[in-house]
Amino acid sequence: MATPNLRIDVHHVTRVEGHGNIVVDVQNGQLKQCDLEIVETPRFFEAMLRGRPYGESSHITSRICGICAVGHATASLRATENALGVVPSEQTVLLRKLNFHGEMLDSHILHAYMLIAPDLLGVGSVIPLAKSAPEVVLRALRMKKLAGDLCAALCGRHTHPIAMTVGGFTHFPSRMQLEELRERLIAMRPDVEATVELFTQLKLPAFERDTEYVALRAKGEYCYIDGEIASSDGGALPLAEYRKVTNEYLVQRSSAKRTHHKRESYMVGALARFNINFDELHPKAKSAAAAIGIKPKVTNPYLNTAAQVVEIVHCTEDAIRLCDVLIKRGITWEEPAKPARLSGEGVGACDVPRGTLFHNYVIADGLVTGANCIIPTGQNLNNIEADMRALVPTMLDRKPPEITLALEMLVRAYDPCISCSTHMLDVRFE
Amino acid sequence: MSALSSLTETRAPELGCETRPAPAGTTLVLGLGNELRGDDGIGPAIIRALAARQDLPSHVTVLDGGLAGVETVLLLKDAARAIVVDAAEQGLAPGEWRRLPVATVLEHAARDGGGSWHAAGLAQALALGQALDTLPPDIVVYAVQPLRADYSPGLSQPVQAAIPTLCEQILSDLLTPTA
Repeated sequence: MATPNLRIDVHHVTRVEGHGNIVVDVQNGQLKQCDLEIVETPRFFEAMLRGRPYGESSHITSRICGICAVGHATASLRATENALGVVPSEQTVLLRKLNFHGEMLDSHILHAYMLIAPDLLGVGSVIPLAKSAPEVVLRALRMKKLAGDLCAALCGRHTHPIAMTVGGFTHFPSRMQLEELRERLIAMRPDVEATVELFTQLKLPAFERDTEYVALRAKGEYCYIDGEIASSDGGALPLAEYRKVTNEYLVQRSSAKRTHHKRESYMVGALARFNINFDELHPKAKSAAAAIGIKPKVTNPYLNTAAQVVEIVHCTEDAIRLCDVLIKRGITWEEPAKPARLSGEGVGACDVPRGTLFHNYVIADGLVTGANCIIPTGQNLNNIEADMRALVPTMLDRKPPEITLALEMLVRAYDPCISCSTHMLDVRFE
Repeated sequence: MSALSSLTETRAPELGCETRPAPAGTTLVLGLGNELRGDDGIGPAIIRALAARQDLPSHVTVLDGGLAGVETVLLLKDAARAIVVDAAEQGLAPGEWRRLPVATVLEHAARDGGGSWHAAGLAQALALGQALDTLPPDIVVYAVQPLRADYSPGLSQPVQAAIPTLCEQILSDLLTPTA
């Protein structure tokens, strides 16, 4: 029987980072309200950067997030480097890419196993899952630990990296560390295969809604750092023109800004990358996608987790390749590349676990005078709400708890990092 | 910086890049905390103090777990016995500490309802270890009351002053056979 009236009010969705509420109001079968309210406190990181020496920016902004600390640091460094004409060495680029894979693996493994799998297995959290299937949870912990150890070897520690600096690194992994990482990554392959196998068995909800997908793209690689901003609706823009993609604006109910590009909303994250950069995936990752049963263009947002699993395969294999390259060429303890100037404006962008991240700095005489950071979850909020508005009317014959769970799972599928997404400053560059 | 020094103790480059868990069957003393957050650094500080002692029994491994979070489960997994040191807000005088059976911490975790797995603390890690049935059979937690856990390195005077007696208590535990 149809539900003529329905009120869903999920106060603080669980198993996401930060605080957000789902509010749905249906009256006489008509959807009156369908919001994802962001109630996290604004955090003012951009204001903290003002007046600080450029070298501090990556250390300050990596604190925006404990999950994507390497991603924020990398985007920050690229913004500073582009502003000041710093050209990192080939070794720096390779080390940053390897480091990035560690963070991608850490984040995706936690999301797929500890935040999503409990829903698909019908349990409330990872604790009952640990009781019923301990080998699954121990596998996740083993993989997650290797990902963290990889970051620690390259940048001192995973959360809030120390050794990453403008123009390069202040510390370098030894050959023995790289060889050990390579061996451990190879030894992790059976766990990666078991992860793919698990997600071939788990059934993600069916729901289709086409939208615009946005991700970084570069020739010859599955792009995570730099590149251009590509849209599934066609076209690409250079990083410096990111505002033409994000078009941020405020809404009353949210402490996070909203974005839109060619449609009312767009999606960033693993699924967007999968749709845009599929051809550049490692062959084993493409095989994993085939095993799970996804190929571009995927328009079911719940399958973002499936795309993350494909990326787990890609990042593992590409990390092994990068270890091989670095071992073969040898590590040089080199000084960071120097700035060509001390004033300028630059944009840095990375595709972090949850999607495309932009940092934009204005630097004058070595001090940051303006900053703008646009975080993936903020870009996904409109798309999540558009999904909710499309999903709810198809479910009005279901019981309210079932609708609530479907909506919570939808929000969780995006792997939102709500505390990152809150930035309310209206920054003017002068 | 203190966090980097803790890394060099447990992840010395010549030893590879893994924070190694305790060898199977041994006793592990695990200090947890962030030395950049004031008295939260008491765990690593106790590990340093114990590592400097000449009278540490040979079957004991001391480990600075830093911010191991949920991966604490793996660090504890193979130990026969574990003593964990961490800062905890308990409403005591700064520097006072309590010796808590793991059941008390698990009760706290259950009452608290858990938190974000992105920022799991000791209580959540122990709850996960219990669910996995991988906790050492004998495990106690020394919970030290901080004065401050703000954004600055270094212990406050009362927490610093607690180190000698807490080390003696842990050594006394280590010399006491388990039941």
